[in-house]
Amino acid sequence: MTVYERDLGTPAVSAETQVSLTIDGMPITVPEGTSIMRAAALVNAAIPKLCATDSLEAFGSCRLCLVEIEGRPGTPASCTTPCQEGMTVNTQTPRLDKLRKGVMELYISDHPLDCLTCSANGDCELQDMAGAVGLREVRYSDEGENHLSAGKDESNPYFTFDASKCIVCSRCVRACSEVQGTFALTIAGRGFGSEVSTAKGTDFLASDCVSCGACVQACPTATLQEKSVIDRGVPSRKVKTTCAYCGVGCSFTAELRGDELVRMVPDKQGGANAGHSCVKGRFAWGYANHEDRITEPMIRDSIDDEWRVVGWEEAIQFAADRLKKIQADHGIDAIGGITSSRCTNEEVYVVQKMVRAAFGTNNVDTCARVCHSPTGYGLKQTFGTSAGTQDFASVQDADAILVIGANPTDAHPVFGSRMKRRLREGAELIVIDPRAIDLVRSPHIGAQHHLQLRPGTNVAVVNAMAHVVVTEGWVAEEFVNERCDVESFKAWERFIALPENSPEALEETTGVPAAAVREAAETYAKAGNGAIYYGLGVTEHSQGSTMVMAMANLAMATGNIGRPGVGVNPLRGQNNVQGSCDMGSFPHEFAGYRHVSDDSARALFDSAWGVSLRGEPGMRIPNMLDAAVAGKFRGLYVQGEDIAQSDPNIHHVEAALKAMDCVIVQDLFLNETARFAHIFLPGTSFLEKDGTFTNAERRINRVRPVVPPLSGMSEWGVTCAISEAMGYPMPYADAAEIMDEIAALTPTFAGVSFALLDEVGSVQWPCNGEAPMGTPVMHEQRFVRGEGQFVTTPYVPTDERSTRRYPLLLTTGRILSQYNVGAQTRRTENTVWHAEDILDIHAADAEARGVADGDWIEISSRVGSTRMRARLSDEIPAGVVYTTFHHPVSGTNVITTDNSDWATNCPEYKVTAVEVRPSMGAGL
Amino acid sequence: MSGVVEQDARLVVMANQIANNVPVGGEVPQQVADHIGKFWTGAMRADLKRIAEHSSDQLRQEVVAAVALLA
Repeated sequence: MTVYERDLGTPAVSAETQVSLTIDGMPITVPEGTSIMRAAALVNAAIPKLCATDSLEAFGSCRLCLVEIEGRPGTPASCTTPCQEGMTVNTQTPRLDKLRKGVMELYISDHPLDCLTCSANGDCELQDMAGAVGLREVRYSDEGENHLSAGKDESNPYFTFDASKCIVCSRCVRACSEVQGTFALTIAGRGFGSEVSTAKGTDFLASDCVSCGACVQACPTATLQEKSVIDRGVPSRKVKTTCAYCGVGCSFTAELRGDELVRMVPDKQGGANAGHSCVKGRFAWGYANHEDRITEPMIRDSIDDEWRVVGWEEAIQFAADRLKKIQADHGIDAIGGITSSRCTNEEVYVVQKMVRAAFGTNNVDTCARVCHSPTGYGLKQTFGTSAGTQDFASVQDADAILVIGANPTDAHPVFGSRMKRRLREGAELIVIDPRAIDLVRSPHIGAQHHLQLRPGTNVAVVNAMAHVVVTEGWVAEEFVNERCDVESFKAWERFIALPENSPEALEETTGVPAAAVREAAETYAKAGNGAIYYGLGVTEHSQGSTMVMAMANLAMATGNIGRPGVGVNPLRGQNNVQGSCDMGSFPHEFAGYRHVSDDSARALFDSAWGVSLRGEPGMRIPNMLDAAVAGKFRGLYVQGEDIAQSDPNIHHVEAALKAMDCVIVQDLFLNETARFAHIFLPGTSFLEKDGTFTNAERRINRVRPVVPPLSGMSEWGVTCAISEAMGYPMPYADAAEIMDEIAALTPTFAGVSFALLDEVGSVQWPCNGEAPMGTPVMHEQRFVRGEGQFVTTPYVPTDERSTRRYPLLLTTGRILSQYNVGAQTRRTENTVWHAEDILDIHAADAEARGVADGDWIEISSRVGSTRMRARLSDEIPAGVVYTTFHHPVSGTNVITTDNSDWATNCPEYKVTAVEVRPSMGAGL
Repeated sequence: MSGVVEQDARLVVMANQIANNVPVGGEVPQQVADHIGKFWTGAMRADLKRIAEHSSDQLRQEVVAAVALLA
């Protein structure tokens, strides 16, 4: 049984004009520009090929795909020859057979004949093509010059490069360039000496390779081969599912041998990723079977006691009894829950339902509190709904791309590659970031404008850009008049035109030269299609919500909403941030972003759930933690989240957790939060889940179980069992039934079902009667709220400022190989690239403190201190330091403060005043 | 600092921050009251009222005015 997808040889072409031709006597009509190879594959007249694959542009080097065209001389390559009207093509003739055999004979003469023991046996295009052309003998001996003893590079933890098996088809080099956009590979040498090499001439590990796997995917032989395939053999069955790392939400085919996962292969039909992947989704899935996995429930009376392994029934009853006792002793609102953006929509939905219906409180929040809650607030105020406006494909139509507080090549790499492709095609790039992220300068890409602002001054910079747009007369008046609330626009226009919002007035505050702001504003406003992409560098500020609204104002004022190529697009951090928010995880909103005080919405849920729900908001995570320290909040259900590592001011978080009588942690591992837990409920990895994730472009994708839950129970099943033990049964037969309830109660999900998703792959909400197949671009004819609402956005400096005691500003972020608090990626080979958090510091700041590259340093803020190594970096300006938060041992969030966004309490991770001193070592 | 005092201090910071950040052009107390009414729990609103009653000097004037508008 084959598990591999059909390869049509060259990419699909879209064209208005169609051409009709005949191939091997079979008529076919295709878009103009389609290759003969692709057209032939479409009529099942597959032409032998080696250098062609439908994820890459045609190359025409292997000379195996030759065809004859009636009325034309010679035997052109079918991959590079476009179909034309009236053509008659023959793909199988005696002349072609002879030519192809000759070509194959030459390839095989310089290839090891070890097929039976080769790791790609059964999954080798060279082997397939030798069979397809009927090669029966090789007349050339191996005594002449050859590559059979070429070395094998095993430096990469996930794949090998065996040069002896390379046919120099350049598919790997082209994949690295065209698909990934890293240009880490090249063809070195000439003629017979041509060989695939890293661009630096080093081994793969030391090269610029980002281990996205595109080259491995493209390789037609065993030259580039997953080590997991070498170890376990070629797969025999497959399951389509969705990655559980970042908010891109890539579709993958999990390929298995029996019940053992062999590899994850990106799905060419994946709406979000179109066949591409990154190092995390492609390779870093080993954590799912890591020895640290806890697969049995555990309980303990006190956090000072040892854990006691128990059965599910005892654990669930223990949890329910404790929660009920707390409510009896301290009131209904003394308990609550936190949902996880790593869990499925269905798992999240049942947790918030349990909290509201079984606990009887609205004390439910989600980890989006600490990342994109300002997105929810800001976009709802201005556009009417809490979601990004575009699909990822939209970037292909952008003329100017404005990246603010995001680092797509590291944090959202598959989308980053798509963006880089558009930039290579000529779109202009504006980066607003204190750091010189990769996009500012990388192979074949350079930002036209890098506004290297001081941390905490986002609003000032975007206000200044909007000031330029308004005062220079670049407002898209027709769009504003037709699509927006004109009164709010006029109020905003008067505000933004004030001299205090000019680039010149704000230059000293932001550190960005006024001329640079003016040039960037002109680029964005006049490009045609201006698209904004942003990340946590926008939201995790004291003015995170203000900044989201400021960007929305700018987009509306320039008419950059409601069509492909434009929009305001949050790049969500975790795989299901969008979904966890959609599912009613916020304490003030039911599923579909309807406020709990909305009587009609509440009546709908009252009726469906058979309860009387509360009409006032519950506590947010920081409110819960404050109330816990005050002794008022005593019990917390934490679903798949590690607040004792990910949330700010860890000492405060720990004090709150210690003060509680019942902390329930549902997770894969005994994480930092579990140190304070009384009940540990083993969770399921994404490979064991059945449900849906919703990515940053509102795309709802199926997550299918690849293997059964190691713990024996689904996560939603565990939640339902606790709810039932609390006195409120939630008897779902399966995850599909949960989605059916979500669809029945949530207008934007009304058309969604597992059956639909299994049929069409994925849909983007809103998916309902008005849009049965979903909505790739929002606000096309009208805004969700009717007219777009302009909101005045005064710049208010954060209280967190550099002082004599703490003169540097710390900002935090992610690195490509690690993910969030590292619970998953630290348990994979990805640690080879990032084994510890490191502080990036400018050479001038380092020299002033006697710190050299690689030294241990102590970094202190007003709330705490920690130690890590320093790296001198020119990616950040003097006065700013940067680190990641992937490792608990460095405890970056020990030093971040409890400052937060004024509207949503999203922590101000991106600005912490600190001082750095040399240190003798890691110990504190 | 006790937990309750710490919680009160946090509410003061949050309320003042809201007053300092709401969009310009509208009545600040009304905007603050609307925001708190939409996102704060009843217990937090009650605590803020208590703070406004006994320690109003910690609160911006707009917040004190907003408290009077809270349901």
